[in-house]
Amino acid sequence: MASAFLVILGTMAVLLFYVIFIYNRLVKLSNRFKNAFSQIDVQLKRRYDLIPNLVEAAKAYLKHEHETLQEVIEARNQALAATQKASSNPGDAKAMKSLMGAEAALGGALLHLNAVMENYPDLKADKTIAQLSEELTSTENRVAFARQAYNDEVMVYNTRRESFPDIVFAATFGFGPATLWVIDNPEHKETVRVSF
Amino acid sequence: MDFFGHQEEARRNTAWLVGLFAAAVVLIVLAVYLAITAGLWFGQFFQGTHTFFTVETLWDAPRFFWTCGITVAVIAAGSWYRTAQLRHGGGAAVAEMLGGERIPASTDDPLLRRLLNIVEEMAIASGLPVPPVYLLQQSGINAFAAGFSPSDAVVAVTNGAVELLNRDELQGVIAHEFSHLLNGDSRLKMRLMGLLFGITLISDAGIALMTARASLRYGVRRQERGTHPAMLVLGGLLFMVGTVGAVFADMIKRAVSRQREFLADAAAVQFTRNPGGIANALKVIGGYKEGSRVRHAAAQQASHFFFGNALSLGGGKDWWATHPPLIDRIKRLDPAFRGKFETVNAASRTARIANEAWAGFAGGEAAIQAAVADAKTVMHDIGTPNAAHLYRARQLIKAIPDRLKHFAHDPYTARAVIYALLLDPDEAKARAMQLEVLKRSADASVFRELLEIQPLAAKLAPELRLPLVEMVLPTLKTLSPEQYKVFHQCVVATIKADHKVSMREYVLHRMLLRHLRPAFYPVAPQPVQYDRIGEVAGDAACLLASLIRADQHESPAEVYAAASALLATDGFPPMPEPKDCRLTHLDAALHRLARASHDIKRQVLEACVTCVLSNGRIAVKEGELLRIIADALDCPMPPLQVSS
Repeated sequence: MASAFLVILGTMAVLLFYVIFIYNRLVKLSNRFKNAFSQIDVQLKRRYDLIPNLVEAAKAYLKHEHETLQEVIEARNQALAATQKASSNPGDAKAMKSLMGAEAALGGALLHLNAVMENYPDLKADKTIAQLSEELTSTENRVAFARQAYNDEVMVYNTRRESFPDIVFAATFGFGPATLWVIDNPEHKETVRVSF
Repeated sequence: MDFFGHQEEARRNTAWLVGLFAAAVVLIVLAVYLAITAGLWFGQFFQGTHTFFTVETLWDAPRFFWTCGITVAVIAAGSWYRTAQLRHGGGAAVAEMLGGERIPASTDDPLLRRLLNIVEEMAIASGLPVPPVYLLQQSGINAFAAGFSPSDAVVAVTNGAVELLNRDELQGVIAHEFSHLLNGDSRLKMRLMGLLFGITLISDAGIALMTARASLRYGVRRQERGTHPAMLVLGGLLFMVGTVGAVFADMIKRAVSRQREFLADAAAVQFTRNPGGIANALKVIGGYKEGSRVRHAAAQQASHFFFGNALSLGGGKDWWATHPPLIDRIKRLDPAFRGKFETVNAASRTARIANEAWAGFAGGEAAIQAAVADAKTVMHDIGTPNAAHLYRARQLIKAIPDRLKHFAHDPYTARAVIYALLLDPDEAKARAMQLEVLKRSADASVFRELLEIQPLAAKLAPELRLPLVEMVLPTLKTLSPEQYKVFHQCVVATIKADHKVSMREYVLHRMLLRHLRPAFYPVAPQPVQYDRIGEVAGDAACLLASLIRADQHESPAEVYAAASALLATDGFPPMPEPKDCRLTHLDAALHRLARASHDIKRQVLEACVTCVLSNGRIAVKEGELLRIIADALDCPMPPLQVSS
C-alpha cells in the first residue's frame, strides 16, 4: 500500500513537473516574439517622426495637393495609434490586424504622394526632400528587417503552441496564437519604395 | 585579492554549495520518509488497528528505498531541467522569466539611452562584451546581472531604478552588477538557481496545487468551484514536506551570496571612484516606499541575483535574507551615515532625473591617467577595473564617430558595420573581392548601407575597432536565429573571399562568434581539463611566438626566453617556427587553454603581457591579439593604451 501511494505521488510529481516545463517554454517563446516586436516598434516610430517632416518640406511645392498631404498625415496618425495599441499587446490578433490595415493604408498614401510628386520637377531637386526620402527608404528597409525577425519568432512560438502536448495547456495558461505580420496586398509585398 | 583569487574562491564556493545541496537532499529524503510513515500510522490509527503504531514499524526497508528513489529522482529531474533550461537561454532566460523586456539598442528615450550608455562604458572599461539590457516593469529600485559567462550575460534594471536614480547612482548600481559578472558570482548564481529548483520544486508544487482554483471545475454537477479537497490535502502535504527544501534553499543562497554583496559594493566604488554613487543609491532605496521590492512570482527563485533585497523592503534584520541589511551596506561605504533615511518624494525626484537626462551628461570630469603599464599592473587590473579604465573607455567611445555609433546600435545596419570592418584596409584587390562576395550574398539594401559606412570605417583609428565590435554585439543579439545564420554565412564568405585569413579577420571573427553564439545556441559548460602547465606548454609557446611576431623586437629570442621563464615548467619548448604557428595553430591553442586551470591561465597571460610590454610600446596588432587571448581565457582585460 505504501509503495502504491508513493508511485501515485511520484507520478503526480512528474506530471506536474512536465506541465511546469511546458508552461515555462511557452513563456520563453512568447517573450521572444514580444521582444522582437519592440524592435519593429522603434523603427515604426522613427518613420512616423519622419513623415510629418517630409510633408512639411513638400508643402511649399504642393500647394494644390492639400488633400494628398492631408491623406498622408491622417494615415500616419492612424498608424501611430495602431502601433501604440499593438505594442502594449504584441501578437494580439485584433491589434495586429488594425496595425497591418493602418500600415497598408499609410503605404498606399505614400505611394499616392510619390506619384503626385512625380509631376513636380522642382520638388525632386530639393535637397532636404531628397535626404528625407532617402532616410524614409532606409527606415522602410529596417522595418522590413525587424518584421522578418518578429515573424521568425512568432513562427517558432506558434509551432510550439500548436503541437502536442502544449496545445492541451496553452489555452488554460492563457497563451493565445500570435499573429504574423503578413503583407497580403501584392503591391506592397516589396517594401514601399519611396523614391522621388 | 585579484581576479584569479576571486575565480578560485567562486570555484571553492561551488564545491561548498554542492556539499550543502547534498545535505539538503538527505534531509528532504528523511522528511518525506517520516511524513509518509506518519501518514500511514494515522491511517491505521483511524482504522482502529494499532499494531502498526510501534517503533519497529518506523523502519521499513522497501518503503525507505521507494521514498529515497522517487524523491531523489524528482529532485534530480528538477535540477537537471532547470539547469538545461538556463544553459539554453543564458542570462536572458532569467531576465525573461522575471518579465524583462529587452531595451532596443537604438532607443531614443533619454532615460533608457542614459542607461545603455552607462552599461556600454562599463563593459568597454572592464573588457567585457557589452551585455544586452533588460527593463523590468517594477516600481521598486533594483537591478541584476545574470549569465554563465560574459557572452551570455545580461543586465536587467527596474523602471524604478531608471526613473529615480541619477546618473552617478545608477552607475554605482551597474558597477556593482559588473563586479558580480567579473568575479564569477553570476555563474555561481546561475548554477545555484538550477540546482535549487530541484529542492524547492516540491514546495512550489504544493503551493501550486493549493492555489490552483482558476477555472477548474469538479463534481458531478460541475457547480462546485475552487480547489478540490483532495488537492488541498495533497498540496498541504507536499508543501509541508517541501518546506524543508525551501528553507535549505534559502540557507544555501544566503551562505553563498551575502558576503559577495559587500565585495561587489566595494568593487563598485573602486570602479567609479565615487563612494557617493552607490551609497546614495542605497539611501534612496531606504527612503523610498517601494524600496527594492520586485513584485513577481519568480522573484523568490531569483532573489539572490538582485542588487537589493527583492522580497521585502530591506530595512529590518532578517537572518534568512539573501542580502545584508541596507544600513550595514551603507555604513561600510559611508561611515558617517547615522542610519536614518530621508523620505524620497518619488514624483519630484522622477521629474528632476528626467530633466537631467534630457539635458544630457555634462562632461565635467577630470582626466584620469592610467598608471604606467607594467606587467604587474596589467595583470592586477584584470577583472578589477578602476576609474582610469572607465575614463579611457569614455575617451574611446567618444572617439568613435556618432554616425558610426548610430549604425552600430541598429540591428539592420549593425551587420553592415561588421562587413565594413572586415574589408581589407590595405590591399585594394582583396577589398574588391570581398565587396564582390558581399554584393552577391548580402541583402541588396544592406550592401548599399555598407557602401555608406565603408569610408567612415576606413578612417576609424585601429584601436577603436574592437570597442566598436563590442558595441555592436548586443545589437546583433536581437537578430532572429534565421537572420543570424544568414549573417554568419556572409561574414565567413567575406573572410574567405581572398582565399586567405588575415590576423585582423581572425580576431574579428573570433570575437563575434564567441560572444554571439550563446545568444542563439545553448551555453556549453567548460570544465577544467588541464591542471599542469606541461600539458599545454606547446599551446602557450604558440601564443608567445605569435605575440612576438606581431610587433618588432630587437631580439625576439630574448623576449621569448624572458616570457617563457615565467611559466613554471621544465623543458618549455623553444620558439616555434612561423609554419608551426599559423592561425589554425593559434586557434587550437586558444581552445585548449580555455580549458586550463585558473593558475595556468594566470601564468600564460602574464607571459603574454610580458611579451607585449617588452619593447616599451604596444602595437595595434599586438594589443588586439592580447585582447583576444585574454578574452579566450575568460580573463576580462581593460583596454590598454595602444601606441600609434
